[in-house]
Amino acid sequence: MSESIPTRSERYLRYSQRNMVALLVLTVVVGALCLAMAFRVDAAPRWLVQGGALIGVAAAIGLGALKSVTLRGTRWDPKSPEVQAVMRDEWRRTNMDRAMRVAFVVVLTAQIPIALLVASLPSLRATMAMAVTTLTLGLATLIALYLFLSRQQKDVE
Amino acid sequence: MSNDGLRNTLKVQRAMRDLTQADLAELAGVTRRSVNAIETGHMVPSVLLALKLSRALGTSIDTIFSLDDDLPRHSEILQPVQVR
Repeated sequence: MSESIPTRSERYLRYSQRNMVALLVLTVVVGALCLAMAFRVDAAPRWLVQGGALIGVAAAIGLGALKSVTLRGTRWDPKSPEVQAVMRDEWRRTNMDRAMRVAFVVVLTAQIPIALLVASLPSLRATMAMAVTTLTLGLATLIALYLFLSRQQKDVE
Repeated sequence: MSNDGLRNTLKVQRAMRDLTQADLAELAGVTRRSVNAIETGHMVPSVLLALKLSRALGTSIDTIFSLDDDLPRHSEILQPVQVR
């Protein structure tokens, strides 16, 4: 059995996992910025515009660096059998399904606390704050739980 | 290893053929983590994956996967039909 293919598959899997971590960080940062904008609309605009642009640049650089460090020159070809194995992996899908169910319940149960939290804001900002909080909470729960469930099991050879 | 009433001998079958988890994963077209999750009882595979694993190991599906013995058997559930 050749050693190169499992190694490549493992590398793609690691890349996919690290991308999810990067997406989690990005979600939390963007969500926090949007929330800050909703809560402190007077104080925020200037640094938020600068911050938003910086986040875009930092995310692009970070993802590029992540790709080159993790894949080490290997191309991410969606049609290759190794990438297909990672994307269609049953353990990955099972964990994503579990995480989705929990994230859905979390988002539903958080609606009333969030509504109470933003009740003091004017209606437009309250709507925006509620939408951003719901999206951030849902996505962050989904990704964090997926990463937690996908963590390495002990019995590995 | 047993999970949700499903028992599997995947680790034994794999060891008998001197395959690593990565080797078997490659043959079945999944990642090593899926094979590991099935072996450790953290995941019940789909029928499709169970068939792929049995094909990869060159054995029948019921050699690898079987039901726990405490589940009722067909003959214990159904009464024999009386033909008049």
